[in-house]
Amino acid sequence: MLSYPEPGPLTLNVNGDMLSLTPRPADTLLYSLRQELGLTGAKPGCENGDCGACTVMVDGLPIKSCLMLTAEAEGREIRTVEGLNNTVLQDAFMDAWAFQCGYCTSGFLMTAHALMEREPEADEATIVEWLRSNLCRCTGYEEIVQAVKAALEQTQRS
Amino acid sequence: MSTVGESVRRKEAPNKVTGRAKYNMDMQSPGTLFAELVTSPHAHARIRKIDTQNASKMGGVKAILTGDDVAFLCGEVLEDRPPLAKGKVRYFGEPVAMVVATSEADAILASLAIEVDYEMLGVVNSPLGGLEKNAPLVHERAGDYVKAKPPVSPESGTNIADLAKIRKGDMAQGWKSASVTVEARFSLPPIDHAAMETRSAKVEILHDGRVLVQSTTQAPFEVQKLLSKYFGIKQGKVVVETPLVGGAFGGKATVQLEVLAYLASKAVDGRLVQLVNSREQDLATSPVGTGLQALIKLGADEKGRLSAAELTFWMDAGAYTDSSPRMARAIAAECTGPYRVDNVSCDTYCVYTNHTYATAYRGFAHMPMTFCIERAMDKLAKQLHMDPLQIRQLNAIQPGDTTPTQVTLNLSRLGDLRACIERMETLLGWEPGKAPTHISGDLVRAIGVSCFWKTSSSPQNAISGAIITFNQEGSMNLATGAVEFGAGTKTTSAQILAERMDMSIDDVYIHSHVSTKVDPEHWKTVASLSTFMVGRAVLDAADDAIRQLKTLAAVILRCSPKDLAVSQGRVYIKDDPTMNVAFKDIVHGYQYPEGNSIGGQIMGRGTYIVRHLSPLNPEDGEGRPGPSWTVGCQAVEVELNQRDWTYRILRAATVIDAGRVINPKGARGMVMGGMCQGLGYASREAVRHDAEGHLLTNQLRTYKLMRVGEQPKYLVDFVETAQIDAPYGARAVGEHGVLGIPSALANALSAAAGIEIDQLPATPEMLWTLKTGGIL
Amino acid sequence: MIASRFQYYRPETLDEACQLYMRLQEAKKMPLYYGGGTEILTRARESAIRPDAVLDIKHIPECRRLEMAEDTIVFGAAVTLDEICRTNYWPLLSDAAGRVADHTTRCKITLGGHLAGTIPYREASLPFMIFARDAKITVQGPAGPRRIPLVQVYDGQLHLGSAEFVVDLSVPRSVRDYRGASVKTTRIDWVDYPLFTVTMVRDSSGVRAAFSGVLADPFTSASIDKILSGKADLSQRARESVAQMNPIIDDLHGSSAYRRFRLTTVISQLLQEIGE
Repeated sequence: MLSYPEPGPLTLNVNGDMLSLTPRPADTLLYSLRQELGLTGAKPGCENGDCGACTVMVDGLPIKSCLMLTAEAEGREIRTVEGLNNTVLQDAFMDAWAFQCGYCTSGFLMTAHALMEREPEADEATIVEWLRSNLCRCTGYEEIVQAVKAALEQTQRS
Repeated sequence: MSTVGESVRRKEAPNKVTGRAKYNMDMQSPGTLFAELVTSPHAHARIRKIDTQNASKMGGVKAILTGDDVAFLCGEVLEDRPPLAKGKVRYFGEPVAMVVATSEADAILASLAIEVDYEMLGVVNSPLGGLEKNAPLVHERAGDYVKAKPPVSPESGTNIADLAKIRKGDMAQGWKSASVTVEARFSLPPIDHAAMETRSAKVEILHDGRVLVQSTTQAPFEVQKLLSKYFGIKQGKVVVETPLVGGAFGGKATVQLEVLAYLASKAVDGRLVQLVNSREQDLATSPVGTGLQALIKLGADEKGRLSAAELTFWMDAGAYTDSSPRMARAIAAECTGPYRVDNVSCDTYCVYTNHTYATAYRGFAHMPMTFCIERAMDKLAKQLHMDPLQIRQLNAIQPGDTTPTQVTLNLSRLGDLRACIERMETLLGWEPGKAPTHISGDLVRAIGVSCFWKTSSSPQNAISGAIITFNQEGSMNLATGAVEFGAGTKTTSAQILAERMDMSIDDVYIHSHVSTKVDPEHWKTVASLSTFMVGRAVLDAADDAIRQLKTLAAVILRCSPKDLAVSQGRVYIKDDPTMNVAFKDIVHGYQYPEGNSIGGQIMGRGTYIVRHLSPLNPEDGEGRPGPSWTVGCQAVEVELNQRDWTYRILRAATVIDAGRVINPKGARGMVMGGMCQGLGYASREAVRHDAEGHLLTNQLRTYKLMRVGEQPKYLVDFVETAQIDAPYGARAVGEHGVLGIPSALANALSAAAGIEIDQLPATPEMLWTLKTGGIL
Repeated sequence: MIASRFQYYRPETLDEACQLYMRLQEAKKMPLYYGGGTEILTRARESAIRPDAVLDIKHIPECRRLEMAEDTIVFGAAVTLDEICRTNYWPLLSDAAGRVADHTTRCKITLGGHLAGTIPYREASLPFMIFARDAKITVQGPAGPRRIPLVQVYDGQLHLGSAEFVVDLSVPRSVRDYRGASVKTTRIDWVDYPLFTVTMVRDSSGVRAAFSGVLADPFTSASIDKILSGKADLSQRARESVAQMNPIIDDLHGSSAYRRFRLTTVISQLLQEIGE
């Protein structure tokens, strides 16, 4: 049985790297990513599962990293926004002006990236259902939906 | 090459899509101490005792502060707010004590161990409630507080913190000319900024006396001045830095956590301390946007021409004034909406309540003010059987008319509202006088419209500045004091510079954070003024650099500077561009072939100070509040289900006189985002309290924001009537998308449901209650 | 962050989990079985709960079962609501579970946690409550696992003994044959706690319904089912059945009067939808 009765060393698979850290057992994945691993792309917006700014991918699914313990993530494949590079999606976000302050952007990108992997043929309703897990206070949302649609279309074409 | 008018990408865009953009809490220093607030669970209560004994013995605790440790009061206008409550608490969430500890966990655990003994007091739960006879007093002796930046006129023995007055024309005459009148009461809740990044501050006090502050502020230079003032430190020793900010909307222009973080650092020998709002604290403890109650009376002649407006506004200032007195004057100055009214009487009261105190929120109180006017305009149109756009077109304020504060307007200052309304008719496919349309079954569609105007209330001496330095290759670095919180101020100023220098935007480098140490002061990044003020300073700096470039090039090219022009990184002779010298050969001095050098570094400096503004006369409000106005017309189309009173928002439209659109996608995005916020406020958002004043909406699962799928189809168009003194004619547009949307939605729903929606948020339950009296 | 300290354990068998739980209790510790953890983590952050240990049951194979066999469908307690929707073995359950929280959060919330938590709505339990006669629950306890009728331990709230936890829920495959529908209403937002949720099915013997967000806990009622199955016109049946519900919740999301009004319209709409 895996157990962390005390803060103890564990290894996380983040963006393909095996990273060692020593979290408290009560630390959330969000906390460890930011404070221990310096991966600050995932943002704390509410630490309550309401805003989605801390969304990362775990085993291909979007997960709010404030709602997962670091210990729980051990042995699973974690992907953060720092693991996205030159993707069609990121380009589409820039093209569509799908952000203003940018604070919610990492979370939206990870939700959308998981969507593109899981549901490459997603229809409008599916896109909406996934994206409404995240809050944005700056844009009108249309820009974000357009960016995701554009990225999906481009991926489907190629 | 033209850069202005192009949708160039935000300078920081690549970092924002890779998680590399750094916000305040993305930078951690080992050894940082953590501050945690203990906040009040009551809206109004006397503090009998604070027991910190158990907490102080807990692991990691370095210091505990209470109101007794702090001897001064804060306040931008009126110094009425203790940084930590003293004697009593006045709102749910008010800071009562602060723990500083070596770890965040220790700070939180110790904060939970502090016991506060309260004695409940009666609460003021609304502005009008605060004016009732025998209402509890939020402040016993408000009249004694120090007036830091008058005008402000608190009345001891009442809950009135301030009153701003407008008296224009002759009311008796105005009512005599009126053949129809409307009178309506409105009640609007406070709104929360709900920026995705919560507010935070870090402070370190060095042993050489310097105070290093890093915070999420929109107003680093204001933080610098206030810390200097409160703590008697020379301004030069206070260094305030603001990295990228994760949304602000006015809520980060207030100075709150910086003062607390300073006190925390001071208590631990100046060590670096961070203080971060949890979401709950951000909603409860830090200021909100004002709620508003109002009584509006309008009179018009039989043709619908407005003749009189008698307006009373009661702002929900909350427990402390912060910027409310300034907002009261902003409401007063534009109390009629963008309409010509020759006879105006307006009283705007700031009323203390036991709510979280109010500060600027996108539009500086114009959004709730506009709601009242635009709902009243629809009521007037209904009485006169006039088309809602037609009555607005008829009364639209024009060059030559005067504002409530008796400023005579011209086209450059005002813009063209009539053109906006006309464009809106086209955009919507407007059919004048069209009744709500039955679609099928229980579904009814209706469009509501509204107009808005806003000037930028700033101090009469607000300043901005810009400094341009050159890299040896000839590219430029631009330093300004405006904060980047998403509005694109840095990119816009880079575009203005690129345009003036006729260079590629890629050759302009900005730094996305602001430091009071190296960046020239920009008053505050508020009031949609950055494009105007920073832009003017950038143009001034560019002209300064161009003059220096020409002076040096004239020596090298053996001509008069007047013969020269700059383009594409070169200074050339106008009539023979083949004779030129490259920036790279002169920006760090020019070296002759034999080795002698002349010139030195080229550095452009530019400044701007607002001009011709004057304070509002306390008796009649006469004065000039801002440099120019922005006008526009908005509309919302709804589809209402008359069976269960749920509705969908189908379309939201804005036509705004932008003067000149510097960055089309950027401007469009700002306007759409504004509309989305306005729709959120109109349909679901509300800071809600129970009867005892406890905040019910202290999480994002109770304070609800719009989500994907709930947004309408957006229509955005621009009229471009240049503001002559603005950079390339560009008017302020940052806040404005929000202003008329709540009223447009309420107008649409009122028409569709056949009710009068004079309060918000317009939830299906509210529609049902208004329609049926809440009876099954 | 979560300030309080707790231990994390990842048992791999049912017995290991239960034994550990008892050992911790004996040591005067407060352990919590941990499924998706969404509620434990948010409440721990607010210091509303201070567990000493969490026992993550997601790695126990029995809790992870999600199977449609010839005659039964099994939903492990550690299966997420998203997995339930994605596999869609029981469309009525997918409808109810698919409206809990938001999509990303449903990738974390587990069926067991959803039933055992303190958030009172437990919408995904409504289809099971309708088929209470046939639904079974497996509970792990000190004496090992026992498979019992759901009604013995669940009446809108889960009543388990000390150290017990849910292993799985199962229903006969025949539940798929009934015509049913589920509707969640909210104050206005799509993503919000429910104003109320109603799930309804129809078979040869009549209409059966389960409700959440109306009274303190989810419920079914034989007398309401009888009214719904009656011969009166749909809106009258709706009115009469709502009249049976007391006291209806009055809170931030809506007043009881408004809930009553919306319930009446939603119930008649649902009756129509299931072919009444």
